[in-house]
Amino acid sequence: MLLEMSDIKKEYVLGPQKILALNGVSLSIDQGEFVSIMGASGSGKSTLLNIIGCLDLPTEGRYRIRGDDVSSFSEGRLADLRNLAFGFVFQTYRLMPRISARRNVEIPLIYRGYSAKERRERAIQALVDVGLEDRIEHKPTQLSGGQQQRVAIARALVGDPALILADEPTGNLDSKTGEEIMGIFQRLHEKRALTVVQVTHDPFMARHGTRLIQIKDGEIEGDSFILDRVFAEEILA
Amino acid sequence: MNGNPLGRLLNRLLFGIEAAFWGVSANKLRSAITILGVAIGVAAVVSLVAIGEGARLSIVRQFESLGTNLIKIESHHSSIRLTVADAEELTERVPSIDAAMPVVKADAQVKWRRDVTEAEIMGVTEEFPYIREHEVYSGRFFSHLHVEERIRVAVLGYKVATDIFGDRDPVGQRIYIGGEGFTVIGVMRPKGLGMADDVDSKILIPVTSAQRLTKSYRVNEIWVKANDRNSVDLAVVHISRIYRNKFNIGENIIPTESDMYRYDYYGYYETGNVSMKSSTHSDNLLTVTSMNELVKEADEANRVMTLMLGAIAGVSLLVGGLGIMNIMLVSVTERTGEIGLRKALGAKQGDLMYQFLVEAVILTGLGVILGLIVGNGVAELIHRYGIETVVTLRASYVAVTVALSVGVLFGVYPAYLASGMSPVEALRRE
Repeated sequence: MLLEMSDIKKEYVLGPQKILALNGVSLSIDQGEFVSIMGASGSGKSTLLNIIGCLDLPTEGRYRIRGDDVSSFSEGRLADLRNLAFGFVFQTYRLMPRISARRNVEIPLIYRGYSAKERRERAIQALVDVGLEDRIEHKPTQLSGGQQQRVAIARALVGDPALILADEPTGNLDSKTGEEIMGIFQRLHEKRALTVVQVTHDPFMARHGTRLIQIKDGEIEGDSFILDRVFAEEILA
Repeated sequence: MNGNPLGRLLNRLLFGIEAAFWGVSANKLRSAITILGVAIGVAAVVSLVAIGEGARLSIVRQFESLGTNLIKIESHHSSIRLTVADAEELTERVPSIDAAMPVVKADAQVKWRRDVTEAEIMGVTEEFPYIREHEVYSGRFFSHLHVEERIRVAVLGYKVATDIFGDRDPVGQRIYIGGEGFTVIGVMRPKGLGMADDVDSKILIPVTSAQRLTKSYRVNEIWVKANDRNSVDLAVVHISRIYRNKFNIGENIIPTESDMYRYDYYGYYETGNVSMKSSTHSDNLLTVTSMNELVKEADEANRVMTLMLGAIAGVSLLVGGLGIMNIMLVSVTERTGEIGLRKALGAKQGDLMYQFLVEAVILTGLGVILGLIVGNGVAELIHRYGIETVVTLRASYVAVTVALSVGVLFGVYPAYLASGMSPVEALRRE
């Protein structure tokens, strides 16, 4: 089992109020799955994704990655885990605006201590993989939304992670561009057997995965295989 | 993956520097404002302290232009008569002194050809150039023989010489002082404006000739030069004792330090067309004043001024520091999102601290360099407009230290706080 969560709770303190974002979530994700987490806004789906990606720690419950309990990890080990095992894709791309696509993609490799030459080679390869071979030295401000999200995917891919975590990756894109992004995820999932976990509120985008987890009020409401799966390649064809 | 951990560390360190340069160049306006803030703080301190220090130095120099280790003996009462013989007596009796010279001061009409002016006359001896440490510019000074034989020769202050003679060479010319003919034999080297006891605008004649002009054996002052710095105090005590016994005036003769300030206030009494100066002030009958003490006192007074300017500079440094702090806080806080992103991509707290440290060092370092350049430039400019300035290493050192530490502290501290947050929290702050 790649990931295992049991009875995860996450509480936020917001002024005098305590908000229970996750109320006892248990789930496990296996290598090679393409999981879509779906729910309304405020349902706790993003919180769940952040905890999966170790961007945030649960208040209660046990979270194991390949059998190791995350709560026992030091800050440094968590940083290494984020660097080596996860690739993040955000709704707003989160690229550094003033540096080139290539340099953005290089960032995760920096924290592995790769040499400039190695970083460069691998970043260019990752950009080629997402179809941006002619945009390598462009700055994010010179790129369209779809292209920017591709750069972000290249950045997530460059370190050969076990798991891609995407928070509303198509949320800021039109449907055709969104479909293209989904196509990239599906291709990576098929060809490289990459595990993908995406959060979305769009039922159609959710259907690109192999498994659907529905969340409501911080609890899992449904967990099922997707039978009527959508393939971006077919739609775009 | 690189196998060598040292190589990996080196790559990370190199990247920290690279990332810092990205950070600096990525937001040029913000960087420029930071550098400017630091520079203004440093420049203000450096130039203000330079002005204060310059003022102090110029006053000290003024007093020193009187001659070092100088002691003035001055009578303030008609019953206390100082004479030429007193000076000779002192030279014999006080071993801690080098030379003693009687001084007669008077105002007189000076006439050359048809031009008539008023000038201050000083009757002195051949020791004047030595005691006042003031050389002759052209011609020569009068000799012992001139004094002894009451020869009517005159040495002109530089300003008097140019006032009367213009471009002509005054040496060899004949002038009339108080109706008596004098031959000009020399001109003193200019001392410059604002120097104490402005010799530039005085005419120096042998004291004996001056006595004849004033029609009095009385001399106004006796100037004494002590052997060296250490014998000044001893000489003052010794001289005071001699006069106390001589005039039987007990404690009324006190070596003073501050009477010098009152030298400007003279009253006059007329004797024909020459008016002899007499001091109108002082509770003391006679004063024995060490100029070294005055220099020290003036120095002290000016140290207060330097301190005040230093305080102003300190405030400007504080303001500059607050500016640095502010811009650093804002710029780092504004980048919390970036810190969150970097954490999500695997940066450790140390990586981020390092990056921001290098960035702060670059920004404040550039600011400090600019500030030093501007500060020195301002001091130089003010100097060129005639106000003495002295750039001190100490002020620069303090300014640089404060600016660097404030810049680095407030560049790194918010980064430390931000990089200690969970990545989610930092990412949310965008």
